[in-house]
Amino acid sequence: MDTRIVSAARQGVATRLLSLEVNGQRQQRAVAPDITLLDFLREELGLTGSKRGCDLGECGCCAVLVDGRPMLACLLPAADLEHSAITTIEGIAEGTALHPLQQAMIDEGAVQCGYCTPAMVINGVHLFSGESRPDADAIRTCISATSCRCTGYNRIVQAFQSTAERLAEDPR
Amino acid sequence: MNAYRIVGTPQPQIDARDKVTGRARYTDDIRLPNCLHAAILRSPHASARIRAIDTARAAALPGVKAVLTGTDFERTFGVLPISKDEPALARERVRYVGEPVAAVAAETAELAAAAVALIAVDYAPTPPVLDARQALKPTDDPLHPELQRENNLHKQVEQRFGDPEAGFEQASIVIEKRFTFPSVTHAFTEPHAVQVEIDGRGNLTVYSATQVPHYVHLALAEVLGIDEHRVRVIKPHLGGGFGGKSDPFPHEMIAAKLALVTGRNVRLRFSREDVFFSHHGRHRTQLTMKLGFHPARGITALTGDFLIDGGAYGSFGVVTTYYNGVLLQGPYPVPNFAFRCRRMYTNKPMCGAMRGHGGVNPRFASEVLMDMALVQSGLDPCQARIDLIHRENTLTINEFRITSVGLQRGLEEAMRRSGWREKYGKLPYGKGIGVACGFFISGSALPIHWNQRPASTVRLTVEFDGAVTVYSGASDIGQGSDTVLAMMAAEVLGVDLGQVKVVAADTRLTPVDLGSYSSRVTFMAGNAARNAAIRMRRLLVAAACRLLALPEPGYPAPAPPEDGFRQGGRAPDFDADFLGANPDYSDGFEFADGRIRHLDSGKQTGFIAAVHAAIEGPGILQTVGNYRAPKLGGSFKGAGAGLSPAYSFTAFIVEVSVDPDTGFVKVERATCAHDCGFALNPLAVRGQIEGCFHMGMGQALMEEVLHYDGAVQNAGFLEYKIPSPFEQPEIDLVPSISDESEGPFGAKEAGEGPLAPVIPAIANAIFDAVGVRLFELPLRPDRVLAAMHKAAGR
Amino acid sequence: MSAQPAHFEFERPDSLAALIARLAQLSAAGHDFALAAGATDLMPQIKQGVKTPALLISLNGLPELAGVQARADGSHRLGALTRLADVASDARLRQHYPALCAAAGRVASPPIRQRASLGGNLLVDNRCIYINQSPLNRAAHAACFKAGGEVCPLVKSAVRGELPQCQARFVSDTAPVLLLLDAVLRLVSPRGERRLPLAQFYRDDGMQRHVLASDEVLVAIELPPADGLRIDYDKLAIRRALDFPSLGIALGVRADSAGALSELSLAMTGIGTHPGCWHFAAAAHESPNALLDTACAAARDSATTYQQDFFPRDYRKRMIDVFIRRAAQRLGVARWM
Repeated sequence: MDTRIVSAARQGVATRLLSLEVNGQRQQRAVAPDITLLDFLREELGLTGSKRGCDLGECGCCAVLVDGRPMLACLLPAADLEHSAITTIEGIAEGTALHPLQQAMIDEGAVQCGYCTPAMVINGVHLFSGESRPDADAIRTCISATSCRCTGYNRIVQAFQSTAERLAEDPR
Repeated sequence: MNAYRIVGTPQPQIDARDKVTGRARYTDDIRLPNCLHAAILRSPHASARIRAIDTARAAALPGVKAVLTGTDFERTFGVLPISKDEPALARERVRYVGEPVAAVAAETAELAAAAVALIAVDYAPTPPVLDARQALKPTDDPLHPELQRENNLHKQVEQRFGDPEAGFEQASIVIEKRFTFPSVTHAFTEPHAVQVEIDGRGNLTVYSATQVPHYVHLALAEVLGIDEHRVRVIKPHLGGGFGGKSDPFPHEMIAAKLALVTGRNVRLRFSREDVFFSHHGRHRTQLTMKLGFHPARGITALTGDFLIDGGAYGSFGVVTTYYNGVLLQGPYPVPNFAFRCRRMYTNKPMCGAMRGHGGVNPRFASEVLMDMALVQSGLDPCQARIDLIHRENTLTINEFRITSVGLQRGLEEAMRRSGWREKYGKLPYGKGIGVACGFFISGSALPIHWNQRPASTVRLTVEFDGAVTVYSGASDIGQGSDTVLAMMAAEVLGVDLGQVKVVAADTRLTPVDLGSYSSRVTFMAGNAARNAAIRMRRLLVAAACRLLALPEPGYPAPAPPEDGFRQGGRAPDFDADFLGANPDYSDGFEFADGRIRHLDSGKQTGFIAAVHAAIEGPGILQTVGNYRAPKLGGSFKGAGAGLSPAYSFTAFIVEVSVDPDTGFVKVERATCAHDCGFALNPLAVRGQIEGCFHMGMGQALMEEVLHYDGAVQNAGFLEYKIPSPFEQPEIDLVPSISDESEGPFGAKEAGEGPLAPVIPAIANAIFDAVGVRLFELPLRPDRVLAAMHKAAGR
Repeated sequence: MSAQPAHFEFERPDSLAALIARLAQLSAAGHDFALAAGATDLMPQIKQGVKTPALLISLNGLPELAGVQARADGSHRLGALTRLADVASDARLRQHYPALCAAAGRVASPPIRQRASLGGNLLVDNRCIYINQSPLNRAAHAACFKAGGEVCPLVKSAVRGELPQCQARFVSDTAPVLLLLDAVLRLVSPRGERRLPLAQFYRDDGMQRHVLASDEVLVAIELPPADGLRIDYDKLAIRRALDFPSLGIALGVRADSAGALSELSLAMTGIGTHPGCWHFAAAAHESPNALLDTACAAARDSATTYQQDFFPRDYRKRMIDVFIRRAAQRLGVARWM
């Protein structure tokens, strides 16, 4: 019972065995058929880096990578992702080595309250995986899904730009 | 020149790495063992009597552990002692759509939600009061009958200084206009959340997304009727506040009560819609303002009549009522001044403090009127403002003590960098440039709960391993206050930033700090942290002297600031506990690179060696630093409102494009001169200013809380329009160049003041672009277009 | 109260045949289900209790619905499940139907476009500020038709059963472009497969929005060769990202063999219960301006606006002309005749 909000304990609803790869690790849980990926990550696996800001796909704070593509975990029925590979913010850094974007977010002051930060990074990691030199428009588009109320976005754009410059010099 | 190692240099937040890796724990990320989940039943009526509540079916649901209704709480509460008018759960009547009526704790969140749906409330709806004007009308059924008023007035403030009528006589231009502002909301990204841990002795540890742990602590004990020592409030990482988390809230009372009743840990989180119900945003405001201006004399008189819609309960509303008027005492001298502000109760979610508290809407009015007067006078709106800004070390007519003012030079620089002289009045139709100024407090000099305690206290320890720990009650709400406190301690003690740990916002471990509101933390907690570090430095210098066989340096008694004015004409009130504000800490030693070096003799010892030597006697190395505001202000009623030990000043120059066919306004670029004294962390200052611009531009162009029959109609981020990254312009920031002698290292606030001038600067730029003035926010495309058509006679 | 989402069972068939068999079974039993592709429109409605399916059937396991195929004759078949992000970035589509890619790229936000499908965008539910709310907020006033009630807050005189009974507005960004492209839908049901022009798909009602049967699946969208048709799409929204269109205008111009403008076509979204679509022969008009006047008048006269979103109703209506003329300018209509 302990930490689970949406748990197998629901009366009268059959659970199903769900198997997902999360951050490279196979995870299997018996869950209700209608739980979202966000609930699965936060409540079943305790991966709380993906944030719940609205639960309706409007704030963008719950973005994760599903088979490499950024998606909003609050809108995804977890059962629909059977056998998909999920990467959450907890899986972005390689060991203690941050992704260049993570480091740039720190250095450029793109992090204030930090609540939108994981989603900004997730969207950015996808952007930089396909495009080494995104222009200002591509950067703004990339971060537009995620509501940030602290920074006015300027420092975040700056962090993306310096990441682009860094990757151009030293492609990963 | 910056002779410092750490302060004055851009520093990322000390917990930034935790935030970019998802490791940072916010309130709802905490996992308490054996935790119950709470859900709240909210009112669907804006105004109704509660005839009966039947909780039997909910309570009977297996897994439900407790059900609460209004009768489970005896006392109401409120952040201000003078308006404790809010119940944790509605009793007898509901006053807004979304008001908490009942609550459940159950084994799962799903069960709790299911149980809440089984609670039957018998409501008798009554006609709601949905508008402040309607609230002025006499009624025999006011929202708060305990006030014994004939209408729904909550608070009325009237102040008068000088002779406004005579002032208008002296003016060459007198302009009076009506302005209308909708309510806007903070829209922080982390919804409210609370978790309560209870131990075997009935002690409660309350983890809450709050800006004010200390006030929550006091309110919980009072509302729950338990000893204060049984409560501990901890603020984990917090996802933005902007004033929206600066009150004690019903959900905190509810979760704590559920923990007490069940003996179990309790978790409660808000949906985004719940956040809109909770609101506490900027008041819907209708105001009339009259400005008298003379080219040679400046402002000759300013009067205002403000009607603000407070919603159902008090919150910070009494303060808001004052701030609407008194914050007009800057950035220019106003020799004759009068205002009336009335805050009304209505059947809508309550309003409270929001970034720029109370000063934002009147600032729009005053800066638009100012612009009109300057344009009519044929003066350059930028240069004329520079000439009018308060001089240093002056007193306003309502006895605010103006100390440092760096805006004249700042705005001159902003004019130059923005190309103002080449652009103003010279851009093609549809392009415009505008300017506006503002001013704001660096913390309120007076506490909400009257007492003689310091405004801020910081405890500082150095452990055997050299770790410096700052214990502060201040809440880092994303603005980076933990970082700035650590920076100051590191600077004074000559250690690396990484060596400084911060334990903050935990009412069991940290000294009382009133919280993160009114832009008080950097100035007040900052001075306290700096003083604690200075005292620690003295302990270490004494130990070093013993190790190096040197005599201890003598320290001067805390010196008063350079003249009596800086204490408001009174004697200095420094005492033995208080080193003063921003004292000089030079002692003939240099702390750097893990060494403590005597400058004259060159003798030196290791920092750790000095720590070990200092720790020998007491066994622990601990110091305390305080901040006390000087005695300020006049002796008239309401003289305390708006008093601050220092004021920030801001100017924004904004360039816009106005689409002549659609009325769309695009802010192309902005230049900001913000006088925050010495910028302790330029990276954080920039972040605050850019964030202020975003929020101000949102209010200027698109944000508005809409209601339908009292229900919030746009209670989500799709329909409540926050600007996207595409709307935000580049902002050129003029470095702050004033020095505030009483601020820590010379610093003043940067978190709120920059917001207010953004809005009138945009409006004034629209005037330069297309020649129309708008007096109602937001400056929506349809309104701009209609004004353009009207001006063109179409 | 926090919305208590309706609970649903979940199924994910792995072939179209299996799905159709299941649909036949469910329909016969009168079962309450919903088909879901990206579910980016459906999930918020489920969470807000606007829709309460007992069973959610995912289309994401169906290979028949995936992929973009170019045919020898220049036509294209777009699987209904093609994600909007893939529509926006597909090199072939960008070459042949750039306006479709642009419109797909204007929907919501990037992570939504990674999941939301093109078929789903054609089927995106009509929206109204009175229905797209939590149960509590809906309960704060009398239930509207779409919520199962007896009133319309927008049209006080509206009567249940009289079309259009619901004025919830059409908000697809891609539909207007696909209309101008003469898109044809491939629909499969237990009764077989049919092809239906998109132009015959929508109905004038915010509730019964289209002619898709409840057991019918949108499998693919077929596009004829663009053949010199150039389209411009732009939308009215206060923010450049995130928002549904308060008004969306797709304007198309087609050249004859001599390179002269032969036809102007126009489709409108964001206003009204369904997308408007018009074709105007250039030959019938004396000048480009006269042609545009006709087009503007047609769209404007068809439009009844309500206070349903950020912009006031009059303003949205006024912007129809502006958006059409600006699109014409970008397409160089004046130069063409």
